[in-house]
Amino acid sequence: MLGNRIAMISLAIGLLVPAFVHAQDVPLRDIIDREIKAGWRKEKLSAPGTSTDTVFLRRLYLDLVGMIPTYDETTAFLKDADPKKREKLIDKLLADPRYARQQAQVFDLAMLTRNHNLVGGTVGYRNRGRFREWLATQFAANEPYDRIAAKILQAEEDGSQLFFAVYNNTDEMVTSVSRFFLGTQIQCAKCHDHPYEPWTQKDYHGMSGFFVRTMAVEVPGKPEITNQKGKQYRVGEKTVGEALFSLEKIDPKTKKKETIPIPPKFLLGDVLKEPETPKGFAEPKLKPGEVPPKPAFSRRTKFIDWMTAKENPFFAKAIANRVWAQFMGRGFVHPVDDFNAQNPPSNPELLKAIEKELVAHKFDYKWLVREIVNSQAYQIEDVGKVTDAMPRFYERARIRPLIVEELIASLHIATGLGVESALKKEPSPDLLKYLGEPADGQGRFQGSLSEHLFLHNGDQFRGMCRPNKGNLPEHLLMSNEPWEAKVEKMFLSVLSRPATSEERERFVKYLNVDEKNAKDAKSAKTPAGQLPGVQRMEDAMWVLVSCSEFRFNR
Amino acid sequence: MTLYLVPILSLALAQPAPFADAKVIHAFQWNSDVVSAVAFIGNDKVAAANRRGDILIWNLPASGDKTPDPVRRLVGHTGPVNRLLVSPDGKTLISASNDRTVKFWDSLKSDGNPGTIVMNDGYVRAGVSEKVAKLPDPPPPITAKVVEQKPIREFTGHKEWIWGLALSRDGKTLVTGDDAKLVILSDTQTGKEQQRWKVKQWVRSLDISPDGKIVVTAEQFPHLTEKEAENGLRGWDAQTGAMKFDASKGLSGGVSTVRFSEDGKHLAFCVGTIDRDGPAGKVFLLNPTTGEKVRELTPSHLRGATDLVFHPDGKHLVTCGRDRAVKIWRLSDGAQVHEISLAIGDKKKQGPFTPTLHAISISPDGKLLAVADSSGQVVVCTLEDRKK
Amino acid sequence: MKGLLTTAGGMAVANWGALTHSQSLAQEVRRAGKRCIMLYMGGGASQIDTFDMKPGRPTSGEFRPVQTNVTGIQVCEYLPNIARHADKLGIIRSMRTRTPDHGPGGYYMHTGYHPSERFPHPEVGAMIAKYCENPESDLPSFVKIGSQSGIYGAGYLGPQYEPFVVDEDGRVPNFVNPTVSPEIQARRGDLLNFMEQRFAEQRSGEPFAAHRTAELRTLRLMRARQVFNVSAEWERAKERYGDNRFGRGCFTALKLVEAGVSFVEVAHGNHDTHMDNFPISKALYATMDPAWGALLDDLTQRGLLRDTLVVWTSEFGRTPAINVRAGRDHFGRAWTTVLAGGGIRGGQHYGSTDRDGFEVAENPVNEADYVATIYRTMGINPRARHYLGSRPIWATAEGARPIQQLIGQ
Repeated sequence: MLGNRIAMISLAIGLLVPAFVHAQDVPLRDIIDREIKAGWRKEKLSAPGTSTDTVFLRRLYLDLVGMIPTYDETTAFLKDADPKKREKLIDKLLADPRYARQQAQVFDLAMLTRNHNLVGGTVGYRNRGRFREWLATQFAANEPYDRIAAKILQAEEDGSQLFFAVYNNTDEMVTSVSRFFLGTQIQCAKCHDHPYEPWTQKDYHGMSGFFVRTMAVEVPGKPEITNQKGKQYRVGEKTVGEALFSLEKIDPKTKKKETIPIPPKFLLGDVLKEPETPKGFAEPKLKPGEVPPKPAFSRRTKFIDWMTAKENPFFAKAIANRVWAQFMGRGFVHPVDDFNAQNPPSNPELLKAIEKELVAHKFDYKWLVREIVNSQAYQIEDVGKVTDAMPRFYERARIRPLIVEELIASLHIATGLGVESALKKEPSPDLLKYLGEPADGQGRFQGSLSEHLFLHNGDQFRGMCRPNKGNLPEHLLMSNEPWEAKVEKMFLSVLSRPATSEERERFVKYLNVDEKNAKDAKSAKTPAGQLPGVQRMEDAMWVLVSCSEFRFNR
Repeated sequence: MTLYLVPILSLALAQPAPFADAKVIHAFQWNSDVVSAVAFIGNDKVAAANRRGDILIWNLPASGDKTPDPVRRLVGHTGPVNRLLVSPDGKTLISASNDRTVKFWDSLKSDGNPGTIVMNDGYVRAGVSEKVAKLPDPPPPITAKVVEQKPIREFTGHKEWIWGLALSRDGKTLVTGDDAKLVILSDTQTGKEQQRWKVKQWVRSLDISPDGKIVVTAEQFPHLTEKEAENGLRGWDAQTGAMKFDASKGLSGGVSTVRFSEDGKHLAFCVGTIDRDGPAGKVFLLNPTTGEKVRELTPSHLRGATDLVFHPDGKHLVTCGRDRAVKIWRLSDGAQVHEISLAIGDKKKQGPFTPTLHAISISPDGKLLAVADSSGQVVVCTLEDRKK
Repeated sequence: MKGLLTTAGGMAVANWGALTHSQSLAQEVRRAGKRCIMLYMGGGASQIDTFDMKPGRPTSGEFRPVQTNVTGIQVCEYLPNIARHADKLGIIRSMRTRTPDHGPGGYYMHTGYHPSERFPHPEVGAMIAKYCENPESDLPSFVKIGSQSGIYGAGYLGPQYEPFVVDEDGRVPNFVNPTVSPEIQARRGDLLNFMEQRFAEQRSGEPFAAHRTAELRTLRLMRARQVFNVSAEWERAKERYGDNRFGRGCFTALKLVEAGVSFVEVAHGNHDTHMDNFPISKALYATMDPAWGALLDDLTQRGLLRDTLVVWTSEFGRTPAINVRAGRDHFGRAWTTVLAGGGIRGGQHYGSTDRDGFEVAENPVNEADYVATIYRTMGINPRARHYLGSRPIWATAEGARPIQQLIGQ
């Protein structure tokens, strides 16, 4: 009753007052739930139930902080009887420093991809490290997203410059900026007018105009340092330079295709108005590691202003879609960076609502994440007959493989090594090579044989499962608790849930076998390796970290 | 076609900058196929060759006269000519080609069968050719009346493309190297083989030391990515073929030319057999007996350096590259004293789609420089100071 | 060059459980036991410098043609080993394809479909693996030697037909060797199975199924891993194949098809010679030609050629016009692929190009025609139909015409 009255008054006010006041009335999480439920009804899908506490716990930890909950975190949450515990956990994790780190990781991978140029391989991974640290400070301070995007493109702050170091020629800049920030695939239009979309070559080259003067240089440094800490870059902008577009006509004098400079033009917008460049201007000669002096008129700054302006038709939509996809699995537009006429959003009203609210909240990133994960739509169950990894109407929770970083961190937590240890570890070159790209170009999990061979026989996984250095297997082997309690601890640590009675029985039977020596030469050398049951403990741990339940975020 | 000269301030202090007055005096238009090699015959004739196998000779006019047509055409090669060389006595022109032959020509003879040659039947090279529906219609032919001549003899000891061509300083021994990794020393007059040995990769360039003791080879097995390519620079005993030094480690790319100076005190090489982004055209001086690096000459050419030659004054080295620049270096300290830019249009826009300079030659008196320019011309510059 | 660098659009729902296809046809083909080796030239191999030479024309370039053992067929002078085998080759000179870009072109030539269509199409290897595999064999039926050609996946056919990817020289990583005793492996495998079955009871998501399938295939692969260890025989074979990565990769492919693997793709690159085409191509052919020739030699000698289709292909060809950097650029309007073995009627050209090589003169062949020809040769119906949910999807598009002239018996 009261709610209706408020709604009616709000409606009345809404007619008189600008939109941003009206927007705060219905929380976004409720709008989301309303729309998603309407979608299920429309598609005649049976409404899914809510996830259990254990499923929600693990999903939330992985999504927000990039690793599974520790044994203590798990037991605390499961024991908690507070009806609002889920909302409180969300608030707690959003305030955790690991949130910023995880968000930086996700962003970095989405922007620069796994193996591009400067960021592939072990040394490349260190280059990313600087960029991720800087990104994490932005997310930790909850900088508004439009400011973060502006800073990445402005590339002035220390550590923020990697984007242009990786995408260091005009074509790559245009393509990646369009893809990531505008959600638009424009690269086909470079060589010919797009076959299906309205982008023409002139549009593409018009966008080039904003980036043609931008350049990145590596700051010379000692290899001993840069190989460990990652290289540093500076990004600058020249005062002159044009995007050239080559016509069909051949110039009779040079006998080559005529090229004409294309003035910078905003996508679906106007040509940039700029002052005349001073005649006879000569770019100064640069030393290695030097960038040109700041130009009097910066095209890139103008682009950033246009991109982050409220009226920009692409920017808010693209990030709304991207954040939605990050937590819900599939964007309204899928793939997440491919808005085009042939690919309409699956729920245009909801996308529009999120976009509107986000703008009204001045691109408050943490607010958006909080709203999404507090919705019932996010918290639905992971069981059901639907086989899609990422159901189109969100009728079952999405399934995706843990990325390498999440996997290695979660392994540390699972084997009881603790959060600090998990935060320090960097994926090894082998891990990056074999588990770095679990999905194909369309995001489908491939289940490669190489990955499984690595799991089976690579020493990384097996090593973590052996009793060692105060980890969980060692602790369990040395403790005097009954086996049932030990198995319970294992399940709670690795799978973040209690064991079922069948599982407990089965595992106790497996572990509680009298074996005199460790069969494995490696573990025989450790003190715990002398204890009975070492091999079987390793086996049991290995089973738990190799199974589907551990491998995926669901 | 207009060319722009961009002199760079030389680092000499009190004296007037050497070569500062260098300028183009002729540009022989020859747009049939890529002009790939050039050599002065004496101080008054220029021979140039292209990748169709034609060799033309121009007589340089007395100063002030207009640009002449070629007068002689050397007929015989059926494949691209890679190198041209003139014997120390100036009487013989020698050419090495992909047609597996080395041919010897009378460089001074001026008579032969009358003939004509079309000077502009090459085609316009477009950029990304997917857009070109077909080759554009050829322009009306420009012909030159020439006298056709045949080779006086041939060396057919090779079975593969021949890029390595050198002569001993007494003109008696021909040294050649090919893509079958073979180096052959033979008698220039009789063609009789004296020595042959296998090197490690395809020979792209070679030279023999003035004392006749060392043959240095620039070798390559190219690949699209430099990481996978194999590049070599090695010194060999000219008598036995035993390897004397291997300076291959650390090469940043394929070596396009290697040469000894006339007095044997310097050994220089330049890098750039494959077009690469950035300052890829590095030039180095090595110790001529041990192959150890003496210095790198900077600033290097962009995209690659294609040829080099020592100035007869014994004090300077001249290189040319894919950035359409001709750089003159001082040997004593490695400084760049002058740059002649043959840029087409804006010098800053010499990118991957501008034709490169392939070869250079200097006249015996050191006053003239000739450049094989694949934009379709042979450019002749004067190196003299204006005062003289 | 990973397959689909740019996302190609939202896909239709993939539901392997609803897959329906002709059972009897699959059984028939399986009995035929045909195999396929695909030699994939990454970057775009130049047709004018290999099989479609234009001597005397402005586009001819620096190589010269030589006679082969078939009158009327000439190939580049730097393909002497292939020249000996011209009687086995069906040379398709009239490829005319739509996408001269690496990513989409690679996708199109591997699946027969344009990447803009939003279906998870399987690549040729997966389709052949499905229809020609020996289900008794422990070896994966689809192996990729070298990943530079791109990995496009098994699409709607399901994760069991995903390729097993090994290094360019055919080597498998060290951890193909089990590090625990078979006894331990068995008992922990049982425990893992127990966990997976319970988990799957309520969860039918595709990724879980993919994970489980891969686990099972891995166990079988470890059992059969010796096949990949060709080091002993390689010592003798390396002179003929060439002691380089591609040579060893081709030799490994031979051993794999001998052991019954249905499809092996070997990558060779990089042919993307936008500059200095002639020296680089000459170096490429120096490794490509001996390996390809030795492969055909060995297949013939072991009596395997009749049942093994050898495909030589690329994502597109290269321009007849030589550019300013003495290179050739991408070109899809007229280029060449070559088929041999598997019953292909060799010793002939199919299709031709005009005088300078700019256009197809007769018998144009597009991507779907080419893929259909491969399928037909392997005994697979090019119009084999599967279903995605209720939506039918065919192995090749409607109108795809296999080249009858080349397909024997």
